[in-house]
Amino acid sequence: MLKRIGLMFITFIITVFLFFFIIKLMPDNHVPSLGVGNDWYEQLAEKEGWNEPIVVQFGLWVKNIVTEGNFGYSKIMNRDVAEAYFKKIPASVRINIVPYLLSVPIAIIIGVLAALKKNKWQDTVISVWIMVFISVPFFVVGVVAQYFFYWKWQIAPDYKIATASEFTELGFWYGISTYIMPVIIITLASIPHMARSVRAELTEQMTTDYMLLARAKGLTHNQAVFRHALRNALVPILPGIFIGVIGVLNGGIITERLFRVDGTGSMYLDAFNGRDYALLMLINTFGQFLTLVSAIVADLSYTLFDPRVRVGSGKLS
Amino acid sequence: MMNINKKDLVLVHEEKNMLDSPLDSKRIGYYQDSWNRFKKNRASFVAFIIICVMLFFVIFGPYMRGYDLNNEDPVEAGRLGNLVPKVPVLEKLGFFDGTKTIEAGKQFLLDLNSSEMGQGIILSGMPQELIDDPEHPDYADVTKLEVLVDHYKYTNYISSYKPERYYSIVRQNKINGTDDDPLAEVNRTLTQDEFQVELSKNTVIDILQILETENPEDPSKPFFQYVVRLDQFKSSLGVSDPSDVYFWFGTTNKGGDLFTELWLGARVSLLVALAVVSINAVVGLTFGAISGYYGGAFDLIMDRVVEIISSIPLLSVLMLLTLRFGSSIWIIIVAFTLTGWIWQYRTGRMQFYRFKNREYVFAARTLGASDSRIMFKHIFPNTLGLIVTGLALSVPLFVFTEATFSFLGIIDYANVTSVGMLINQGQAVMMHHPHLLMFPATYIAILMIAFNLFGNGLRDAFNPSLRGVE
Repeated sequence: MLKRIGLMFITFIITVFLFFFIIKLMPDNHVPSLGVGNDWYEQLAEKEGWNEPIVVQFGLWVKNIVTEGNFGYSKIMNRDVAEAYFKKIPASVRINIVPYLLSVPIAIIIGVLAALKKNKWQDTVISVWIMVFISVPFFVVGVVAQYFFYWKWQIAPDYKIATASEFTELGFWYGISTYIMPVIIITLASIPHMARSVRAELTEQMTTDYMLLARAKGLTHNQAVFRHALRNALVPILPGIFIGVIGVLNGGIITERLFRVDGTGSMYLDAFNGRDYALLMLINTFGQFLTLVSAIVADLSYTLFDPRVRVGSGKLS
Repeated sequence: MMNINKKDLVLVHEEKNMLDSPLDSKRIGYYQDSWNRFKKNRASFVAFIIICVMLFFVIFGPYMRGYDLNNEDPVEAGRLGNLVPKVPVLEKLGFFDGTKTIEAGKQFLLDLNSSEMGQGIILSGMPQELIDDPEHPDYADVTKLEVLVDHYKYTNYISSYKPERYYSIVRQNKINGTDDDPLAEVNRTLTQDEFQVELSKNTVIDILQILETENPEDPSKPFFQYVVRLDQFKSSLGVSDPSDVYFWFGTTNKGGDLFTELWLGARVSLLVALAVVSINAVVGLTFGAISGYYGGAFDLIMDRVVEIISSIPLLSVLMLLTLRFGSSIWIIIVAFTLTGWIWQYRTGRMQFYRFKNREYVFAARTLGASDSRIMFKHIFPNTLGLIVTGLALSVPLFVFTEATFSFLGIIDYANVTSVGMLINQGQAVMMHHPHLLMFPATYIAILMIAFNLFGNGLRDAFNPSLRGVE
């Protein structure tokens, strides 16, 4: 187990270094402004060692993080990147948390329903819905929904979510009501993947021998399904639930672009468009870090919930 | 090796009659069987046909309209922007008939309704009492009206005869005491030669002004410039009646034909998809086959490499590469293949690892087959079904990702508008021109569903264990 975590950690460091390396290959288009002293630029060049080899710069970057918690200086916002970036997380969480909390139980219910009613009309309806939402890109669903709900039928109060100033001006309830449409769309779009795997796992579990044994012991069909099959079917899905937390923290670029959320995803796009390398570096590192944590948690969850799995005890292939 | 003379060999059964009759049933190979079962899967087969139709349009669609005004003359094309869709047969059924509900000033509409040029533009929505009496007291406070118009004729009217803002400019002039020309949007200044050309095409509506400038070389022959109003559709499209003009999917805000642009964009993304998928397949399968078949140190190293690569998000790679090298098609292909090949690698590795200890491989090796022969002739055909399915499913995955990133503006081709970009542009104007959003969105939705259904059908068809189950 420790060996596996160690390997993941090494992978994490290597990928972060790769990002750093590529970002440092970018041209530095800084043009010193005339007449004004170039203090901040020279200070940064001194502090981050811009004239040193890239490996040394990486060392300095890590040192600054460890000693001062300083991830670099943002070009487009003119302040410390970490401070600016972590401030945006609440906005992303606000829009993503409800869909996440709703979609997990709904997906499980729908998956179970489809598996129990296999090849009946309920299953067909669910399958078609899953097919459509998995196939059609989320941004298309979002844009079309905005068009119909806001412009055509005028049900939704706005096509984007309310900003902080709109919250104070137009009242709390108006602000909340702008969240309804995005939340419904995100929920609808995030259910299908999980529902599909629940359905596949459960149908597979229902054909196994222990189900036959359970029925032979005298359990009813429902008892057998919910006490035995469902438990086993949910084991492979648990890591996905934990990984979903990352999505909540990290925001979705498309969601935030569509509904004008001022969160981490839109900051990522800003960093890309404004070529803010320090910010890009932070976002990528943070994303990698979350991936690392979730991978470890997912592995741990396997060992916790499924005693048959002992991670690190040799590879299954 | 013994040398046996062929003459020493005698056929034993020559005298006897063989009573077995040859089998009447037709021999069905693996691929024939797969195809048969694929055809039985109705949804997948329909999806396959839809994909074929789409491919037809992707290949031939851009040439079907023969309309290129937006490249030849962007200014004139811009005047034909945002026309609504109109299709020859469907217009009689009431869909895509080129009509649109617009909102315009009362005075402007009244003027339009009574002028000779404006006959037949307004289809409904104009109150009769207002037409009879423009000063009707019921409408005294109304400044704007909503009417249903023939959008093609209406566009022709406002771009060649009287702009929508005509009366508001007149009013502004009165209030501010300025002297802006209310017809500035429609009148054009032509040189003598251009004027002759337009005259011969019979497109001039009226001449507003003739400007005279001195000719420094020959004072007796001064230059003339003509300020005229031209019939827009006649002069730029060569059609005398706007009812004869059809833009099947309407026009974009720059006056390009959406039908042409949509298929051009689709072509780019499918071509890039083809390139990416084939590079991924070649690279991934080669490495996968080697590490799966030989194992050993190479496999261990590749295992580490793949783990590192798979932990890098595609978005990061794409962003960094486009920032560094721009967004040409080659960079997009590189970005997608850098991380994309590992999926094919995993498939290939797993398949070769699984099959390398089968009896038929041992048999082949006993007969002296080389490693490369075993890999190509024996193992590869057995894995082909799975590989083809993987490829068929990775095309929609690529199209999906490419559309998403070009919607976000991360992928931005220099001279083509990809479908994602079309949707992005459509989103900006969806309240006024929904067709610019709906056509690309419908295209991508249908394409994705068709590709996924097709891929799933292929997966089932290539899986012989499902034979007779469905």
